[in-house]
Amino acid sequence: MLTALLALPAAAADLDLPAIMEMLAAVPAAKESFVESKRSALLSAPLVLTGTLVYVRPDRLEKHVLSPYKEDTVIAGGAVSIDNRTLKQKRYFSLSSSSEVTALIEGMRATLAGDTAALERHYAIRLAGTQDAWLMTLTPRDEKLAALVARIRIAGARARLKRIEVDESSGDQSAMLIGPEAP
Amino acid sequence: MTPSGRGAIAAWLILIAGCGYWLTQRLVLTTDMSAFLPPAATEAQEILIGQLRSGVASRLLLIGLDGAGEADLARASSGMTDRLARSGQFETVSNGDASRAARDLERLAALRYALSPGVVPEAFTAEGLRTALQESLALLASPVGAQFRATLPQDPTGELRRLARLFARPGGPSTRHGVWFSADGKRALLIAETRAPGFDLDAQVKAIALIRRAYAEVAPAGAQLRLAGPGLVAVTARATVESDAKRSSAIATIGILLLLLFVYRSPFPVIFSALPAASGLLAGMTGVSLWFGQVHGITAGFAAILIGEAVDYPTYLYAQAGRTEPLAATLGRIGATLRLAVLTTACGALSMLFSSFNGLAQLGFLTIVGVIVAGLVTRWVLPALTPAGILQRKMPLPRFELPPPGRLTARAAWPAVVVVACIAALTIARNDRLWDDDLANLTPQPAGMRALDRELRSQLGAPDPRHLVIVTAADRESVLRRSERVARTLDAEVASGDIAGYELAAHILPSARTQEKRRAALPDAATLTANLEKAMAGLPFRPGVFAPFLADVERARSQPPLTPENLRGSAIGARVASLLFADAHGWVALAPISGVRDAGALAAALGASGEPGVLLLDLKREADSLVAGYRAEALRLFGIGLACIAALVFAGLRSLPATARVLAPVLAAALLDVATLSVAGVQLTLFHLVALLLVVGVGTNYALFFNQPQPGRGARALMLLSLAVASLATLISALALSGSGTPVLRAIGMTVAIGTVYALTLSALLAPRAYRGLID
Repeated sequence: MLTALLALPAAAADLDLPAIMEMLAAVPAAKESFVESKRSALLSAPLVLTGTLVYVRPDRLEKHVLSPYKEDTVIAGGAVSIDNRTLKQKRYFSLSSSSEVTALIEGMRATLAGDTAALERHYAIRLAGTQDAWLMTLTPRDEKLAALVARIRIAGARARLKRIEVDESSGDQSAMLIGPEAP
Repeated sequence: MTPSGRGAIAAWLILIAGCGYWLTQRLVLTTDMSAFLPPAATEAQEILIGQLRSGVASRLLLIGLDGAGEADLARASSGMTDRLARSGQFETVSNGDASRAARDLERLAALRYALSPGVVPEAFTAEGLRTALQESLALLASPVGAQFRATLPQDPTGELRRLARLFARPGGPSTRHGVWFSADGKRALLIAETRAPGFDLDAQVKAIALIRRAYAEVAPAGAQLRLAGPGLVAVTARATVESDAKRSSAIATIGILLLLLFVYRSPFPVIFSALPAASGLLAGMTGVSLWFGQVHGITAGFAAILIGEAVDYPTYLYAQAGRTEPLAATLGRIGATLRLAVLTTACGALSMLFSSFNGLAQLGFLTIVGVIVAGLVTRWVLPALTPAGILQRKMPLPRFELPPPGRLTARAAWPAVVVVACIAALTIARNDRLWDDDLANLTPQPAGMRALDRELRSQLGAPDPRHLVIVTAADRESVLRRSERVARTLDAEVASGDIAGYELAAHILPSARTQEKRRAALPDAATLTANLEKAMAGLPFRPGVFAPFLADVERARSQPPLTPENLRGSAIGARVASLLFADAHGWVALAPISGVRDAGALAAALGASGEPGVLLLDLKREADSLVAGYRAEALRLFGIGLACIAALVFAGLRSLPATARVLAPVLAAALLDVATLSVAGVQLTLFHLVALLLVVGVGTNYALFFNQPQPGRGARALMLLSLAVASLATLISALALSGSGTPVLRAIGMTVAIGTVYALTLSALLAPRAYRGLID
C-alpha cells in the first residue's frame, strides 16, 4: 500500500502547490498518532518509535515519543526543547544556532503551516498526484543541507499529512506513518 | 657686529642645523592616546590599561554590512571572511558561519578527552556507557538526528557536543543564511581580530585597508560597510591629530605673519620676528624627540600655541624700540622684564614636566625648551642680526591711551573684587559639573563613530562587562589551577543566583593537572571494550560500530597535554588568549562575570574561599578612581605651576604689593576663563588646566609689562603697541587651535583664547594704579 502511495500517477490538471498549501494553512491545529521506523547503518535492526504528533498554528510542533522510550520534543518559534523522561535528560537549543537544523525542522513544520516561502527557502519543491493523494518531494537547495539530507518526501490527502520519508545523505532513512492508519 | 654677537649667531646656526638634521632624519610621531591616560596606581588598573593598549579587545574590528538584501549580505559576509582570513593579517575572522565553528571543532576533536568536562571515570563504566548509548539512540531518532549521525561512531559519549556547548559564545547574534545578522535582519555582522596589537597603528591602518578592499571586491549594489573598533578610532585619531597639528600651525603662522607685516610695514622685521619662534620650535621638538624617543601628535599640535607665545618676545623688543633707538638700548630698558616673562612661562610649564603622564611631560618639555631658546635668540641673536633702521616704517603709534590713572580703578576696585569673588564662589559651587569624567573624550572621535561602535557591540552581543574576576599567579599552570578552584566558588554563585554566569579560560584550556586527571579517567583498551560490550547488550547498535571510539580513547590516553599553541588560529584560541595572558608580574586569567545581581555577595564568596591572587574588579569603579586620580594630578600640577610663577614674579620684582598687582589680574583672568567655559557648557579636563597655566604665564607677561616703569608717554604707547601685537599673536594661534577636531587641542585653544582676552583686559584695567606709584 505504501509503495502504491508513493508511486502516484503524474500531476493531474487540478493539482497545484498553492492549492495544497492553502488547504494546509487553513488547519488551526492537529493531533495524530505516528509510527516511525528508522533504518541506519549504525543499527543492526530498524528502530521503531510510536507516539503522537501535535501541530498548533503558526509555529508549534510537538513530537511525543511513547515507546520504546518516553521523549517530548517541543519546537516553538525558534526554540527547541527535547525532554527524555526515560533518561531524565533535558536539552534546549535555538534554531538560530544552525541553519541545517532549522531546515530539517522546517521540512515538516512549514509544510504543516502551509508556508510555501519558508519551505522554498531551504528546498526545491516538486508536487505530484491529486488533491486527494498528493506527493511532495523536497530537495535541499543548500549544499550544506544536502550533505545531511538527500530528499524528503511527504505524502498527503487534502489537508492531512499521511507519510513522511526522510532519505539522509548517509544512506540512513526514516519513514513516519501518520494518522489512524498507523497501528 | 660685536664678538659676542658673532658668537651668538654661530651658536644659533649650529643649533638650527643640528635640530633640522635630527627632525628630518629621526622624527617619530605617535598618537597613542594612552600617553595622556593617568598611570596605573594598582595592579588591577595596570591590567586594565594594558588591555586597553594591546589586549584582544584593542585588536577587534567590528564590521557591519547593510543596505542590501539578506541573501546578498550573507554572501558578501562569507566572501569578506574568506578574503580576510587568507590575508594573514588577522588572528581570526568570524562571521558566525557554523561550518567555521565546525572546522574549529573538527581540529579540536582529537583533543576532546582532555577538553571535555564530561570525562570522568563513571562515564566509561558499563553503566555510564549504557546511559550514553541510550541517549545517542534517542538523539539519532530525533528530528535533528542527521546532524549527529556522522560523529556518533567516534563519540557515543557526546564529548564533542559538550565542547560545542563550551565553545558557544553566550548571547551571540542570531544567524540568517548561515551567518551572523542583527536581530532585525538588516545588517550582517563580522568580527576580525588583527594579529598586531591595537597600539601598532601602521598595522591597524593596513588591516583596515584590507577590510575595505575585501569589502569593495564583494559588495552587493547599494550596500554599505560599517566599521568600528579601537583600532579604527586610534587610526582616525592619528589622522585627525596630524592634519589638525599641521593645519593649526599653518593658520597660526600665516595669521601672525600677516599681523606683523601690518605692524612693521616691511618684510625684514617680520622675518626676524619669526626667527625666535621657529628656533624655539625646532629646538623644542628636537629636545622632545631626543628625550622621549618620539613626539606625540598632540605635542606637535601644541606647537601652534608655542608659535603665538614665542613671537611675543621679538614683538616686545621691536615694537618697544624707538625709531632711532639702537636695539641694545631697548634691551637695556626691557631686558629684565623680558627675562622674567620668558622664565614665568617656562616655570609654569615646569610642573608639567614632572607629570606622570608621558604626554603632558612632552608638552612641558616642548614649552620650556621652546620659550627659553626663543628668549635667548631674541636676547642675543636678534640684536646682532637686525640691521639698523629696518624698524623705521613701523606702523603709526596707536591712538588708544590708558584710562586716566586711578579714575577707573579706584572706584571699580572693590566692586570688581566682589564680582570676581562671586564668580569664584559660583564656579566652586558648580564643582560637580565642572569636570569631564569620561576618559574616552580625550580621543578625537566623531560622535557617530562612538554610537556605531556601541550599536555593533550590542548587535554582536558583546557588551563590555562591568565585573571581572582577575586571577594571578607566577606561571600558566598555577593560574589555571587557581582559576579552576575559583570556578567552584563562581559555580556556587551562579547556583545561588548572585551572578548569571561567567567565562573562564580554564574551561576551554584546563590546567595540565586537570587534563592529567581526565586522561587517568580513560580505561585501557581491554577494559573499555568489555564495558562497551556490556553496555550495548539489548540495544540495536550494530556490533563493531564504535570501533573509532575505542581507537580515539586509546590514542587520547597517550596524548601530551593541550597548550594554547594547540589552539592557535582558532576562534577558541583567540578567546583563550583574551582571557589568559602573561604580564610583567606573571600570568593573569580574566573571568568576565555577567548578570551580577549581588556584587557584595560575590566579593564575600571570593574572599571567604581564601584563595590568594584573586581580585574582583569593578570596571566602573576602577575607571572612576582613575578619573579621580587624574583630577588630583591636574590640580596638583596647576597648583605647582602657579606657585612657581608667583615665586618667580616675586623674585623678579622683590616687592609683595608689586607681585600682588601683577598676579591679581592674571588669577582673576584664569578664574573668569574657567567660569566662561563652564557657563558655555564645556567640562574641564586636564588639558584645560594645562592651557590655564599657559594663560597665567602669558597673562603674567602682560601684567609685568603694564607694571614696568615707562619713561614718558611715547614709551608707554610703544609698550601698549607691543602688548597689543603680542596678545593678538597669541589670540590668533589659540583661535587656530580652537577650530581643531582633536578635543585636547580644541580645549587648549579655547582656554588660551578666552584667557588671553581676559588677561589683557584685566591687566590694562588694573595697571594704572601701578603707574601712579612707580612713575608719577
